[in-house]
Amino acid sequence: MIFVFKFPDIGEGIHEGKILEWHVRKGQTVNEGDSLVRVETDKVVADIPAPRTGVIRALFGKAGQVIHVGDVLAELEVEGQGDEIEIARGKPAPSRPHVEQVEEKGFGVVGQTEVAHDDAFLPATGEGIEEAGRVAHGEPQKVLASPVARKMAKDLGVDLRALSGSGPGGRVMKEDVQRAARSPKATAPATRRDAPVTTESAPSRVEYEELSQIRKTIIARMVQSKFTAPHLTAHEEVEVSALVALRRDLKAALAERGVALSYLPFVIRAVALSLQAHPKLNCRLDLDHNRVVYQRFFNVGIAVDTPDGLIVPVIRDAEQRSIAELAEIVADYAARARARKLSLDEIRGGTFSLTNYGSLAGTFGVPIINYPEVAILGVGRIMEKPVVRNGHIVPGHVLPLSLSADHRIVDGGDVSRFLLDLMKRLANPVTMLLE
Amino acid sequence: MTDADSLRVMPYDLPDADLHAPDGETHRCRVFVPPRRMAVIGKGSDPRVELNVETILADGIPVMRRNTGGCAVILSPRMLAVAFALFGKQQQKSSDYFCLFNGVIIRALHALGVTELEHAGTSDIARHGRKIAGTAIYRNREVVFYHAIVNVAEDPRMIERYLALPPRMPDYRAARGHADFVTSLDEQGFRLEFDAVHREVEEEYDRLMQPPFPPEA
Repeated sequence: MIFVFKFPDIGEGIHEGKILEWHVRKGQTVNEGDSLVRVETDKVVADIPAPRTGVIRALFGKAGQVIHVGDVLAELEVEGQGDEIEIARGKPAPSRPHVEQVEEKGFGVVGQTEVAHDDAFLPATGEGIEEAGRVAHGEPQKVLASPVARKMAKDLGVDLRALSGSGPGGRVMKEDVQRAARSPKATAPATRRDAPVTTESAPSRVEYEELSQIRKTIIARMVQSKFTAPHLTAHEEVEVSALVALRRDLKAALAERGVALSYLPFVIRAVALSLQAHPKLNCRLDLDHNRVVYQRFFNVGIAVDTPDGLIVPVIRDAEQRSIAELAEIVADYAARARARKLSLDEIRGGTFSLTNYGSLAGTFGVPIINYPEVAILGVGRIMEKPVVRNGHIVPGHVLPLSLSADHRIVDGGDVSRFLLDLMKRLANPVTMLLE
Repeated sequence: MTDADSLRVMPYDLPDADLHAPDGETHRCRVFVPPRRMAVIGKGSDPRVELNVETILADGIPVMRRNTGGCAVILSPRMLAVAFALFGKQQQKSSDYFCLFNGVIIRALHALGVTELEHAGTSDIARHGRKIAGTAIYRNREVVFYHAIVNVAEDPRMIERYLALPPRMPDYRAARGHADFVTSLDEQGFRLEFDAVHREVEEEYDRLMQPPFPPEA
């Protein structure tokens, strides 16, 4: 497959740069992360790394030439074939690559070209992630389907993503497509906003309101969690004066880009990075098979308070998102959660949850685990308090944390070690810029 | 043979030249006073475009080419050079690093009584719309190297003598010449000791990189 790599926005909001030097030549094999080209923009000289491992098939532009964001920089011959879109899990790939069928006329071969999005990031630096995040926050979904099924679905106008495959590993087979084509299309149930119902005898001092579907779900999930997973909860306080200063510094810059920066993106990033070192907090119990499932992906759910109740949209691969991108996603999720415009995919698949009651009021809590996850972090309100520093009492900003975990699989030691890691990152947030 | 042909551009060899070379550390800081008056051009700069070559040659001003971006600058012993390097897998945008490190300088100067400094344009530090410090970054997947030149007490007219109008200008410059666009702390009424600025920048950098908490596990 051919991977087309375009010049990404390297983070200054400008749209062109000058090629200073190519580090590779046509025909050369490169590994993901190897420096391809040195490019200069107004104030930055950046070595742009190869987005994929492969063989350089073509390079575009000469040293000294000015190129624009979105211009093709290089074509790489990369691993991959078949008629499925390759989605590399565990990579910061928030936008779905565009796959074009191309015919190489000279050879009469139909191949595939994977085109990096115009907002593609620099793989090693995360540059451009924010822009990509604006395009799509959801993780691209790979639809497993046989080639015959895929062709048939295309011909019959069947959306593969809507099907449950009966083949191995949920692969969509020819029969699944035929069945879907025969059956009438399922219509989405109309959204019903339940109006308050009052008794007929008016005026009444009692008002009745039918439970909304969301509330029914919340009830069932809370009960299931609380009566299935024995909770243990630990509380901590961490001084975050450096975080307050860092957020103040970054806030102005992000505001220019229309991004409101709260503390939550820092907490999300700190959690996601800490989870990598503490897989117990990111696992799930599979008692049907008497095993623990360690999840090597870190999808952080954020509890959003909406007029209809709590909704927990999920930030996928959160450890790979920049602070700016997390800020955008949080704002977007919060707005769409309150407007009831989140898709099903966006509210499932979490591996760990955060509840930020401190944005309203509250210091410590006893958060209920978002079952079947095994842990949840409650974030309280940052307060200015006296702290002891070098033997002196000085004012400092303190963040209260409450962590609940499923004591069937997570021990107190696991919780404490995780909290220590988390607190280090929150206390010294610059380290998060280095990870 | 023109003046430009006889211009010799030397490799950059000031005290921060090796700061971005990995050496097992996670970050480094270096603050120094340039040893002499000199011109430093950006990695991709054309000296014939960005320098007044005739006066550079007439005054014997040495010219160096640095690894970072940005246009040509003039350094002098009445300025302070500040350089920071962060090593590791970088995740943030260059604009965030400009903001972060400019913040160190702004806070350090604020501690010395310099008020109303702000981040301006892509990466400048300015006061009342006039540039006090210019900055640039070089980065690869191992390091982000930032450096800044703070004009402590140099006469902006000296800069105009050696630098042509740059090919790229931030909006806030509004096409002003160097003497109108650039200012110094001294010109703005802040008479600061170089040692004090040096010390405060290093301390502010330390505060950024080494907050007092948390305890070791």
